[in-house]
Amino acid sequence: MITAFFNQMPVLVVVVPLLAAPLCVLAHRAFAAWLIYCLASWLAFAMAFLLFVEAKIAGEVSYAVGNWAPPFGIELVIDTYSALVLLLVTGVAAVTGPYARKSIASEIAIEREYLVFALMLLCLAGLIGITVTGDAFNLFVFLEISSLSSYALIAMGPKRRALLSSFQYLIMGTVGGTFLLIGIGLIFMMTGTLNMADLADRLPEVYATRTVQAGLAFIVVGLSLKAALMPAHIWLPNAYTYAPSAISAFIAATATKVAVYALFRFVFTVFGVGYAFGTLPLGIVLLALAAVSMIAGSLASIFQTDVKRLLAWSSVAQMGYIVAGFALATPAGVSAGLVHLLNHGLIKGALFMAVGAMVWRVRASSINDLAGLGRAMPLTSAAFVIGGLSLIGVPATAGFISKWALMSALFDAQHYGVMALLLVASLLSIIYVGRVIEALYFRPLPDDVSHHKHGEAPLGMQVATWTLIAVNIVIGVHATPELEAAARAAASLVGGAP
Amino acid sequence: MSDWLGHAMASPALVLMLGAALIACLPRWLHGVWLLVIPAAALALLWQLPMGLHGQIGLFGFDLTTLRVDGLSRIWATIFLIGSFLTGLYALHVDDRIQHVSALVYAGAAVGAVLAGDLVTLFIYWEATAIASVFLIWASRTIKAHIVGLRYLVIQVISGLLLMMGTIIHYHATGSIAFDHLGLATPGGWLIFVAFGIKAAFPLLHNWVQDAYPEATVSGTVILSIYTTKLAIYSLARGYAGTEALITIGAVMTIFPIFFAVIENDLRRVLAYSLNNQLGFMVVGIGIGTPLALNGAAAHAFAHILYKGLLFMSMGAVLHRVGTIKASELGGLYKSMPWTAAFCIVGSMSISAFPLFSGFVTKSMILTAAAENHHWIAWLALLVASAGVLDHSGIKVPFFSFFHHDAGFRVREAPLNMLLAMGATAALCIGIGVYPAPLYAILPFDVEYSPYTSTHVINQLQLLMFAALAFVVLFRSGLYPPEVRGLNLDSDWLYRRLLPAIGRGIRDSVAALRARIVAGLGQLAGLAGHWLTDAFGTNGAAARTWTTGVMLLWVTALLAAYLLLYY
Amino acid sequence: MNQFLTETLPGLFNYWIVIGLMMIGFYTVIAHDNLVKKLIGLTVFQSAVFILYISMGFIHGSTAPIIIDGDPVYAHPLPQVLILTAIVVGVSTTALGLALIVRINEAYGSIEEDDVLAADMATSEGEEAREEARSEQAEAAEGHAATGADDGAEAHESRPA
Repeated sequence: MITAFFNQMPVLVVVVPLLAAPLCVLAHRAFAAWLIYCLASWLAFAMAFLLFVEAKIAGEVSYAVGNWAPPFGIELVIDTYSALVLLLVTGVAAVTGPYARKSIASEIAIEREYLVFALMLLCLAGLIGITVTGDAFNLFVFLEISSLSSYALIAMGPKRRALLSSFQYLIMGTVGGTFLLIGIGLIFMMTGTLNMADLADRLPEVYATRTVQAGLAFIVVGLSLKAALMPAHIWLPNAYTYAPSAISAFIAATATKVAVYALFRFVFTVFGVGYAFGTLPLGIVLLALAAVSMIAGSLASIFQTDVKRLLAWSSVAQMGYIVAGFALATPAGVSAGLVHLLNHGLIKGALFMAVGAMVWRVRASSINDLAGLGRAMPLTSAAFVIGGLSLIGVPATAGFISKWALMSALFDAQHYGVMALLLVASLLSIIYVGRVIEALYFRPLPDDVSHHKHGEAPLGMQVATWTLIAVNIVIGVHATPELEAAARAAASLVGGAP
Repeated sequence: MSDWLGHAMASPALVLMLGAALIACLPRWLHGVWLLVIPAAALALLWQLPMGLHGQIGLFGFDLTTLRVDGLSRIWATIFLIGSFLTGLYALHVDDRIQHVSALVYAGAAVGAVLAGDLVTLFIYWEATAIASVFLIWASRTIKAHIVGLRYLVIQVISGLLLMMGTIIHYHATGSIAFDHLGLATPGGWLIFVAFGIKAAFPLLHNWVQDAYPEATVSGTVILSIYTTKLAIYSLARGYAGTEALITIGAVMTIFPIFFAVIENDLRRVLAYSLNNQLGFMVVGIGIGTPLALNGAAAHAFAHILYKGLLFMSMGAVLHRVGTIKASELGGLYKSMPWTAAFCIVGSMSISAFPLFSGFVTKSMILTAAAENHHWIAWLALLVASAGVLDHSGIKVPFFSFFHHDAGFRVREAPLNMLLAMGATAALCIGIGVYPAPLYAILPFDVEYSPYTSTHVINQLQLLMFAALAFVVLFRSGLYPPEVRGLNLDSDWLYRRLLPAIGRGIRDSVAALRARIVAGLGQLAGLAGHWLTDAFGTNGAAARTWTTGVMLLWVTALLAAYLLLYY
Repeated sequence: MNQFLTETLPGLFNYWIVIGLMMIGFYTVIAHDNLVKKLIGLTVFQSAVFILYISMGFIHGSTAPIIIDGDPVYAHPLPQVLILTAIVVGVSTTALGLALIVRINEAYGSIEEDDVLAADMATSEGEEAREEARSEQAEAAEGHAATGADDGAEAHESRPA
């Protein structure tokens, strides 16, 4: 029984949330749906952890769906790279559970709450699917599942602007997805297979063809759109700003990260480093786009008056950090990018949760509305401060670990210009984080506050926020396991000693 | 029993930081006790630690040495902890949790940094000092303090980032992260040098001191004046002792702030300039690099923290009671605040290096070392600067606040805890001046030195007496407009006639140049600001919501670019 | 030339159609402001990709992949299966998009992207101005506010006028 469960785990981790979603709809009660969400996400997290351990021991866990042997059937492959991202996704989803109850209740009508949880489960299933699948077309399907559910989730935001934001995201996301589909079609045309490992074997024969080159271009652009890499980032700030707070936290921490995961899964595993970064100049293009993202995102962030929007723009900038690491295509660079991918997911999740807790209290999210909350909500504010410090990259936080790793990798690769831009971007991040902290602690509470009836945020929101903050600190203090795992993942992607 | 000593957790820095964490949760009435007990406990712990390297821990692939106790680091940690105790006493009446917490974290970070045995640990604490200290500025809770604080933070973090880059480069070049002598031979060494230089307020990198310190809270300024710059001096002494360039830099540092200090009206800013000038003495000492010179730098840092703290404390007390610190608005306060006035004078006499005060026994070490090693130009500069100190810190500060014309303020004497803190600091200043042996005993190197030789004493007295006499004569005769009055005291009898003219010339041209640069930079910043707002402001071209059509056009362009690049 | 006209051109006929449809769809999404038209464009764009997939699995003169007697040539079944899935995705996207358009029409009274965006801009500019004013107000107030317990003189002390 137990062994059977363990053997089926790679597929169960997708199936559990996927089946829990209709259960939520059937339950039709907000509380029951929430309970189902929590159970499913925690179960998924537990399985993700076991898979991570298994992948660490075995190097790679492979599962043939429906017992159809790969490359003919769909294969699920979990190596360290996917297991790490899987841990992030399920971990954030599990933490969002306790958080979402009160947060969602304050922003969405009670009779629609159960739908939110169903959609969140669908989104989770899609994101998990992307990370575990070893099949290119399967990846597209899961990507669309997660995207479709996140469009709907964002449209549930309390302001009417959520609607257009969601629609724009839908158009951009669908175009991105379709580009990916075209790209997969083109490489399928040349190789006749969709299994990633099999593709990697067969592609070298047809590297020189235009079809494969165009395929790579379509895949990269399609996934850049989903990952909100400049200049395809414009859907992101609105989408994160107007989504319900819990959804912002969940999606900001996971969706774009998974898209980056998928992008580099294709680039490294399917096409191969030598092709994408040697024969074709992908590395330099991505590096340039990443550099622009860092600076432009940080600059835009400084000018925002809305905290959620400020964080969203900072995400655009941080995406630049992540891609810069991966684009180096060196073991150090890829592992730095991966570490920052994970750390940034944790940081942004924590920050959006802290802001969400403040929004829960003051029902608004402009910096002026948060004035003086340092006294009124000391715990939440402290969480924001620590998260902000981590975002800046202050020692003893997770952000520092990834910044350090990125710097070292950039230095090794002798990209001093990008290194300097990264420094500038982190200086800019001080300014935008500093603005919020100053408002929280050094401005008086407005006199006309009508929201004194709320105190500190509810326990569930506190616990969720502080869990992510604690993980941040733990990583900041003891980063060795994460760094080792990332190095293993990088070694499997681009070669080199782990 | 003492097994735990020598482990990372036995760090005095952690004691302070944990204490800060406790203060964050403790009720208000316990703050006072903690503010005094924690630094005392940390000091006791520091002196329990045996000499050598301790606290080895592994952190992301590096073996860090979090505790290095040797002569050099111990004297700095000692004075930082004493400073923390005194400022704790001084700030006892302050009812602001944020200030207490950040003061202790700041002190802890500074202590941790001087005890750091490797560059990574140093960097971690280096950043921590930057972040903890900015809260002391923001705690003023004015919009100006907010802006200044951000500016301060950005500059501090730039220094940290340079240190980080330098460390990475140094590590790749040498394979070691040990924080020993670094030197300027490698690019990494240069970057770290600049990083230290920013915090040590090297000329042209110094503006943040005068910008930020006067904007902090009353106790915040005192606290700020202790750690950041002296930490940088320590780092220079550790990494760049004997670097010739430092002699020049230090000599310039001693001279140029004088001109600005003289024309400045905000007395706390005057002190910030004189802080800069005092740092110059230490930098020269480090540049000379002989054991005597390094001892001098260490001893001077020790004494300097005390008397500069005392001066800032007394000015803080004035600000606390009167509400302003403008020289032009103050005067005659000795009637209302006699004790504060007395302590301020002790501080002034110490900073001016009167015999029997702490400045004398430490500054003369650096001067002697400069003379012994035939750095005559530097020696001369230091001498001129010594006279300048008397002008702006020794006379201007106490004179304009406590004497001069009576501005009519009738306020109460400073609170008891402030008086106690100032009294204790003043006692230390005099104690060191009268009986310097204990201080000399804890200096990093074993060097025989006696400050009270007849030549030293007579020379110094001559200089000071003449300057004081000149001040009296000039003030009585009313020959000079107030802001130029002090300048003539800069000189001793040799170059008394020459310097005022040159001094005025330099001062005016520097001021004019600075004004032009500032104006030019301001204009440029304005233009850049406009451009940035246009481009990235909430409704700017890059940051506002685009239509899906425009977004897709960009995507198409991206795709086309990829396809073109591949073909 | 002749061969091109008789064989290559018709042989690639499907692909010409794919490219044509793709461009039409993409152009519609970019150029039209009406959200429904955008969605139609998107659907056309997706349909083009569906045809691309179907075409790549097709062999001249082949039959559907159903086992029959003899030795017929089958079309590759996999792309067809794949595209069934993709069609499902496309239909869901269209449905969701249309639902959003209904909600947008309810909320804004228009389905022209321009108008909706202009309405949004007006709201956001209003908010922006309000925030700006509030910031300035806060700044002005802070300048004069008592700066905490440790600063400023006490009330009963005399000061010169």
